[in-house]
Amino acid sequence: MQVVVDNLDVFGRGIWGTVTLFFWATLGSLVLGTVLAVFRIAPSAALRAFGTTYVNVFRNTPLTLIIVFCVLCLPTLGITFGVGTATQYRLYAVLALVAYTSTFVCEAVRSGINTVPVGQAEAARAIGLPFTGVLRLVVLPQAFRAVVPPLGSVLNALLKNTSVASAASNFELISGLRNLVEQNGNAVISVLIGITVAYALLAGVLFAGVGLLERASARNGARA
Amino acid sequence: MSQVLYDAPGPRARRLNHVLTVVGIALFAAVIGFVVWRLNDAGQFAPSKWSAFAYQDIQRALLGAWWRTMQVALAAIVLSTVLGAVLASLRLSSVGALRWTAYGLIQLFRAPPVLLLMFWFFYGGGGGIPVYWCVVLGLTIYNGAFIAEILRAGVEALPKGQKEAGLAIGLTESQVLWTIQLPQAVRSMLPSLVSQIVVILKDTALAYIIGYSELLRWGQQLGSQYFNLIPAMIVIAVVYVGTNMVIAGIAKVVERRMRGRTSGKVTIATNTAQVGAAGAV
Repeated sequence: MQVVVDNLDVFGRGIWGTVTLFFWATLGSLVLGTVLAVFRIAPSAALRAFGTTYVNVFRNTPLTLIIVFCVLCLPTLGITFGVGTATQYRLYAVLALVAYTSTFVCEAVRSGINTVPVGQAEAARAIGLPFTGVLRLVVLPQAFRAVVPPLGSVLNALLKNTSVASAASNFELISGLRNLVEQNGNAVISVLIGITVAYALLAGVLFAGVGLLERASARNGARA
Repeated sequence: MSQVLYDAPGPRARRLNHVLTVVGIALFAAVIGFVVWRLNDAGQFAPSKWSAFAYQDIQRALLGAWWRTMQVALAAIVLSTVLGAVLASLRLSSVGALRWTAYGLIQLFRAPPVLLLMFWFFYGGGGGIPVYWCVVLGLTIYNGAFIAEILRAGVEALPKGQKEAGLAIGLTESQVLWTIQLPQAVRSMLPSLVSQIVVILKDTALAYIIGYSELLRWGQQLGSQYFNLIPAMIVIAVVYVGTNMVIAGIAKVVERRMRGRTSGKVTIATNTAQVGAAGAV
């Protein structure tokens, strides 16, 4: 395990890279995923078709392909961000992760809204609440509670999926692994164990966070 | 449209819906238009970029690359189903030690990214394991753990009487599990199992990163040879999406034919399907 202690800086950079990717991809896919969910349950068939097409196409395409496409093809298409190469690659990776993960966020949100019994909304309308009132006071608080657990597993998958960004010249844990293995051919197993533990720690933190959120939303529900 | 959110539309709501429809179509057109404009601007519609796909040699090579991807996927699907069934049966065993061992293994196998598991075989084997097997084994132990959990949930959703009846007619516990409970669990969990198969198929693309020559790697090589990277990637995406949709279609047919042949609550399967599908790359 000496190799892990000697290379704590590489591990630190790897973890930082993974966390950065995870953070921005989470932010982006929560926003885009919610918008897509709104499209998919909209009263207009055209909006629904748009949401459904997007979700079906991106969910069925491998993430690796999306990332490789972003890195190799977007510059040809003139979609660049006018920043340094490293930042550019990170933006491409985040873009790909958002495009892919938002489809799963969308499905989690949509199924959460669908778990709310129709009678709840009917009752809310019956007592005269307007559309926004129905949403804000009755439907969304209940939907949110049902959304948190599946959203947790979506984020868990996203955390692991950041590893694919190593194909796009991003420095994160997998890139760190490859660097360390190249330099320490005799301590491969220690490096592998170290990286695995790093992922387990990150997943543990995420798990604890989702658990807190779940308890908080359950408490809210009980009060309401 | 969700009944929860919208009442039957009146005249005002109908007008609003028409507006939304126009907005939706405009949005559709804008996205497609932007993509087409960018592609056209970059000269990607030039016939020279697409003519390569008219050659029979290249079509044959595409088919070969698709088959190499399918070889990985099929091996991983078969092996992870076997591993999943074994882990699930250990997890449901009445022997505490077996149950806890299986629990530990399942948690261990699905915690790290699949890519890292592939690298475990790749680097951990000292380069002695062929890349093909690194990919297949990585996919197998990762997805095996997920399939085990799906099967376990299916078995646990069955009515208790199923097991009790089996035991009452003198079957052993493992006979009950393999002849009565698991077959029903497979049927009720079919949607989740299919989405796991789609996950495996998509994850084969990770082989690109550790250097196995599959569909994506082939497309990248073709693209740099003929300077038609974007068309090549588009063709490959179509192949992947098409294959996944065919699998989903077959699954739907099988599901329809099997419906009603289980005493489990089939309704719970749809929810875990989404969780399962999101559970991996």
